[in-house]
Amino acid sequence: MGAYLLRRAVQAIPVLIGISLAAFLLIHLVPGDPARILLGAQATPKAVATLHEQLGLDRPLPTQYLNFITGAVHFEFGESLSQKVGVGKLIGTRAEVTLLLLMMATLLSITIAVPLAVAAALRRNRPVDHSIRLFSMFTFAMPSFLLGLLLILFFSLKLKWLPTSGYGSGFGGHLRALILPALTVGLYLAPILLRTLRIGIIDTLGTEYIEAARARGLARRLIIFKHVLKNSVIPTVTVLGLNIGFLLSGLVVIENVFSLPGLGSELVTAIGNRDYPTIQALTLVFGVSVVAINLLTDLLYSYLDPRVRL
Amino acid sequence: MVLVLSIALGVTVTACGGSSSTESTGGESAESSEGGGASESKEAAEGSEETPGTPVKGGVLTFARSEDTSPGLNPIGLPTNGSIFVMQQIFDQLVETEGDKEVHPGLARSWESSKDGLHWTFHLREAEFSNGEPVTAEDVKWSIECFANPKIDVSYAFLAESIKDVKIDDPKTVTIDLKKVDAPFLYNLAVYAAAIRPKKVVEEIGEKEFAQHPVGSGPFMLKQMVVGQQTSLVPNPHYWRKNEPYLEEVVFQYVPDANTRVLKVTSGEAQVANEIPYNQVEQLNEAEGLEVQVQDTYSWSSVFLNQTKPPLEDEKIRQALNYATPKEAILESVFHGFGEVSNSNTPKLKFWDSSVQPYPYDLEKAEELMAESSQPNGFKLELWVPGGEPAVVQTAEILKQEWAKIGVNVDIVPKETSALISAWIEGKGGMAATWSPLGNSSDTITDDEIVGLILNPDAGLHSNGTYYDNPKVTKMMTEARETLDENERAQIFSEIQQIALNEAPSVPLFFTKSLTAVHDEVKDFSTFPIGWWPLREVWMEG
Repeated sequence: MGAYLLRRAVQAIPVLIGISLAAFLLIHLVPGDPARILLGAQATPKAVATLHEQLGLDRPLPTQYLNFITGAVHFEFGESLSQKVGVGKLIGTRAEVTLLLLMMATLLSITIAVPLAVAAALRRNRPVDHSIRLFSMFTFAMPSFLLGLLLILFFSLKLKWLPTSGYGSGFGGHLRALILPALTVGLYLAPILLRTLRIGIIDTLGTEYIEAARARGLARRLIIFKHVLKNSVIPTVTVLGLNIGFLLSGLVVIENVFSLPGLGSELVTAIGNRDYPTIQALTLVFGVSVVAINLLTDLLYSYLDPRVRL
Repeated sequence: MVLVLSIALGVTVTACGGSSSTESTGGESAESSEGGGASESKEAAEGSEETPGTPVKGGVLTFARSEDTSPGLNPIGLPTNGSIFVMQQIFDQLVETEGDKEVHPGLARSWESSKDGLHWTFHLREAEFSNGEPVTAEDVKWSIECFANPKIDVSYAFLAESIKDVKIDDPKTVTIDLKKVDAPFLYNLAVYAAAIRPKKVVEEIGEKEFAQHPVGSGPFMLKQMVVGQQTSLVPNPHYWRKNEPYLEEVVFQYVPDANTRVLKVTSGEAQVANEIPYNQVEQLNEAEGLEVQVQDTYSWSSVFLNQTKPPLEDEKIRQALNYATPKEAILESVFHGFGEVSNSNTPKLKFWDSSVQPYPYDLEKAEELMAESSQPNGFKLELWVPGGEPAVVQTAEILKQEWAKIGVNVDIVPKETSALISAWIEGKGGMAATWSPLGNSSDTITDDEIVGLILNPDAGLHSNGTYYDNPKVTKMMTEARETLDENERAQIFSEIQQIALNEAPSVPLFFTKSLTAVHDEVKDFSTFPIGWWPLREVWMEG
């Protein structure tokens, strides 16, 4: 196990270097000059030159990349060009929002998906199954900004239960503020889980060992939760892991609709501003997270299915 | 408690004239409402369309805002409108601009200039920073020197390039000497970058830290700033206009999504929301208890034409494009009528001449001009637009249809905004480009800055990427700058406006409006054309 973890960590290094280099090159290849953006429309060439010098943008690209890598090794990502604060600090506060949101959304989506998947699989091709499928198609197909706005209209404007947007203050406030966005993400994520889980359960239900369990007269509840679910869940875990990795940076729309200061909107702002240090650091953070989530998924496999040896 | 007390006090406040230069009975600090109140004259006396009712103290104003307060609140640095508009609540300049096109006293209660316009003497009022320290002549000298230093003030030092030297005459008098006559000088002193900052504090904590902990002499001071979320301001207890501000707190909430801003203000979580989408104004006006304010701005929208790209060097073609543009129709269909058809390549600043005739929509005239031009059979025009701006893209679609009628085959190329503007200014963009009107806005109320940037090939932006170059116009700009008589200046700028409109370096579309939803209980709220809001005057009813 220890050796496995070490091997995976070593394997991740070239992946991360590759990601950071690609991000660095791509953003520098895209036209657009951070100095000009910072200075605004009235940027005189003299001011642009002064700022290039002050920001270190006049140095050759390989030097800039080396500086970035040396810093990154020491967890030093420099200062955001547009926001004038340390990139580490900037990402830290925003990561909290995104992580909390993703955690709540994941929990919600599991809460929604698992019972529905079980219900649908057990009553396959019956009205229950059809209506569940229709529901999931509906929430999955609906653009998240629209779903978010509808939820705000209903829960905030009509019922006045929850704030329309923002991050609230204090931990309780954060949780309250995140309910609607988490529900929006959860409703997007749930159908994906539901589909894979439903198929998994149907497959498992047809296996001989379940047949055997039934024959032995085990309680139905026990069969479903202990034997069926545990054995059907592996593909769903993979799908969930992949989606969480994607959503780390992919929550821009939700963050915008709910005015949440998360990582996704930060990435979009940083790209718009050509804020190189922030973009590079964020890419690296996303890279590390995806690698870590994949690793976690693999570890979860071996827990769920002891036949999987690490 | 405070509220009840101030209502009682409020009754005794009478509006008497001669406001702006009124000396405050300095020294005494207005910790709460029992401060200046009774004996003080009300500032707003000069305004004619005042809402009836006497301002009362108290109330928290929550403002759902499209922009974040970033990067910090230091007037020297590289602020965005997100931070500048908040800084205007915290800092004072020697002189101020308001909703009109004049300069008003700020920290200088009065000033005079020598006959030749080279020496400007400012008489400072008794004022204190929010830390209780007095605003001294030393602070003023140092602040203006920072403003004028291109190494420190990278972005706006060009507005102060005429300054030779700042002298302290006595503790309450400062004289600024100029290298040359600079007519817009006084107006440029009202720009945010010329804010008076406490020298001691900045030197002690440094420029970077100052951006997080600003200290100014303006009506408000910073209570808390959470990047990406919200910024709250509370009254500066040492503010020199002893009655103001009225609000107990202002909370700017960063709400980037326009629909969410609308919901925020509809639900009552916010009392003010800016940048209301054009298509939601009507619906908001129908809602109870709020109204959308439509106000003039110094922003405008144009299709810029790069005249180094053939066949756009042909003036007739550029004029034909102007005639073939149905501005009224675009204004109605895309912008729901919120705007004004433009008669100028630059915005409605101080010397804008309303009598100049805009290009009418006249296809016959456009066809005639095309027939006389170098491309009587038409040509292909590459038009760059920011892909993420629906209103701009819709405008481009209409132009494509309309210009096809005179044989101009428009190829719309969507681009990311930053990439578009950078490439365009450097002449590496398409033949024509347009972008969000909010991308064009003036920092000053005189025309010198913007007219220079848009029409002067030597100002560094290649006439905003149009490569327009008329030596006569360039010479007139210099002349305007060196002319002190405002009537003569108006004459020159009017002539520039007319010449440039004829020569058509761009297809001017509209002067844009600011759309701000404001709850009824919020009184005396307005948006200045330059972009910010005089929040010191705002008060809340009930």
